[in-house]
Amino acid sequence: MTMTEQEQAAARMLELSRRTQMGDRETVIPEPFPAEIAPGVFWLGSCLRGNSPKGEVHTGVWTYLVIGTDKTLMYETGLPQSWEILEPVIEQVLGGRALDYIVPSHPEYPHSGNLPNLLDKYPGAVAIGDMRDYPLHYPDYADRMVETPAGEVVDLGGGYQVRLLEAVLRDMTNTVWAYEISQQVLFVSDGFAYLHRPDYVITGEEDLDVDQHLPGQCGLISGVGDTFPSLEDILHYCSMAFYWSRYRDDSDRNFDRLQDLLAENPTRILAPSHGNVTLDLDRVVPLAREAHRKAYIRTPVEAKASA
Amino acid sequence: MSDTPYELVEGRIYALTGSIPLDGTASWAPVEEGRSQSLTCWLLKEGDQHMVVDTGVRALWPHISAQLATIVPPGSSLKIFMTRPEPDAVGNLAVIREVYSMEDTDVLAGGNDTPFDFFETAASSRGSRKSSGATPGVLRTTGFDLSPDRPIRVIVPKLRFLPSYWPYDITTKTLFTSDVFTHVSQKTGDPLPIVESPEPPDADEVARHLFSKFWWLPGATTREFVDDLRGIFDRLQPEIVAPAYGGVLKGRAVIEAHLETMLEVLEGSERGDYGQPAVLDAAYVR
Ligand SMILES: [Zn+2]
Ligand SMILES: [Zn+2]
Ligand SMILES: [Zn+2]
Ligand SMILES: [Zn+2]
Repeated sequence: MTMTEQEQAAARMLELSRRTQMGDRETVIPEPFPAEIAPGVFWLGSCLRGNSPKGEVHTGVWTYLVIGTDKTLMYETGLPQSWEILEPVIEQVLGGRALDYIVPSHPEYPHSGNLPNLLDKYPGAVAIGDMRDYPLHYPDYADRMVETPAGEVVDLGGGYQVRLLEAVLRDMTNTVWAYEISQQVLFVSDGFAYLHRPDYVITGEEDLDVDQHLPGQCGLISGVGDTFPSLEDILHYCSMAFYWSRYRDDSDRNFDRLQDLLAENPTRILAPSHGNVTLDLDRVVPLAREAHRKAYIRTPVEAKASA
Repeated sequence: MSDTPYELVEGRIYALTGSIPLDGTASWAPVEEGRSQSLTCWLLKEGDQHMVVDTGVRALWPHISAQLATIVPPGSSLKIFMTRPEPDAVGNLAVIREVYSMEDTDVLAGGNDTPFDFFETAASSRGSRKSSGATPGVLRTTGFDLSPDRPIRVIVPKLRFLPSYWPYDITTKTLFTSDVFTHVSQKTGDPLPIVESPEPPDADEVARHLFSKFWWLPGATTREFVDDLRGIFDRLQPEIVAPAYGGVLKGRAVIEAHLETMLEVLEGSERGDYGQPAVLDAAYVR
């Protein structure tokens, strides 16, 4: 009996899935975590490990804690499959205190998936931000979601204040950014994302052929004078994860808006949810503008028309 | 909402469906006074084999589970195909795994495991108070047979938001378009709309629904989407279009009419007929 093309494909996929997904999809906490990136502001989270033909790939999925004198706030909820290893790190940073506010940046699982775990663990906590969709996804917790418009400031005490902001770079429309006023940290969710230290060979539209994780990049802050992230780092992630960026020639429009936002919210530390924490905004912001510009792929029709 | 599933194709496809008001609750749909949107996961049946396309939003689980149980008794084996790694598609996976008998290879999706698609993450989310413990694997597939007489092919549409895969049921000629073709809403209280009349839909209505989720389409370069959609529909000649949100399109003439309007809207997007998306999201910054 000969297998149909589909059966062969299914069998191939079955084999592949056993090999690469069931055994190897581990998550790990980067060695420097929890990292205090500014007094009272902590960087934590986990790396989702995968394999490529050339070796290990890491996708960072980060979360941040802001510890005020009266209240505490968590931006992002971390990978749901990392909950068991994240929980003790969250406890460590909170130092016996409760969590008061949770800001999931948007409903995708890497960003909001631990909402039930967090709300269970901290019965006094509420989720705030653009809360559309969440009551449909987490109906048991609907009474603990507080619609909080952009511009609103949450006072955590001791000078710590978090302002919710609209997301200039985003996938889902109800994405929320946030800004800690005293330490000047901007939390940008899917913006400024990159895999840590891959090599790139993009062979086709959806193909991610080579990603090589280099040791020591997990949880490493990109400081002034550092050479990562590179243009390729940001371009690669942006064109893969922000699918729209291939179809929109609007980098300048978005980054002009980002400059306005940075003027209103002077930023020392850029805190993305997938890319590493970045201190050198003067280098990285123009780089990201260029990356978004390059992500745009003009259709053959257009290219011909302008040739 | 009824606890009897709507039988879309006799003995073969059932709608496990409920609805939400178009009152701004969902970010993916426009606000329309007095109207609602059906949210549906699709149950495919072939003999003793069953598969659901998506699992629906968690808030509708009481309806979905009751409808599902009338066809597939709890404890039976069941496969799940996820069209997208999003909570509205995957939200009931954890509870279904608790109620039905599922092997690791019974959770399927299209594509490949890349650092960008998070299907595994979606499949591991518990979504309920009770933790399900083990993280299920996700079998990636380009097509499979529900039974020897029921081949399913996985279509990879270019028009997508997050990674999206559309199952195509060859036997019934049904295309499951997930978060595209979502523009048929209903008067609140009405059941899942089944469109069988071939008059074209209102283009503005199509645009409003499409752009609610695909906020980035106005002003985008859309030629590839137009060509790709036309190619998919020319090749498959589907007789039913069954989305995850909104009503069903039934019949070649109906599907052609809605496809043409969809393509017009996409072409209009590129021409600038719909302007540019608001950088400030009007629904959030209010
Ligand atoms: Zn996202
Ligand atoms: Zn993300
Ligand atoms: Zn890592
Ligand atoms: Zn409508």
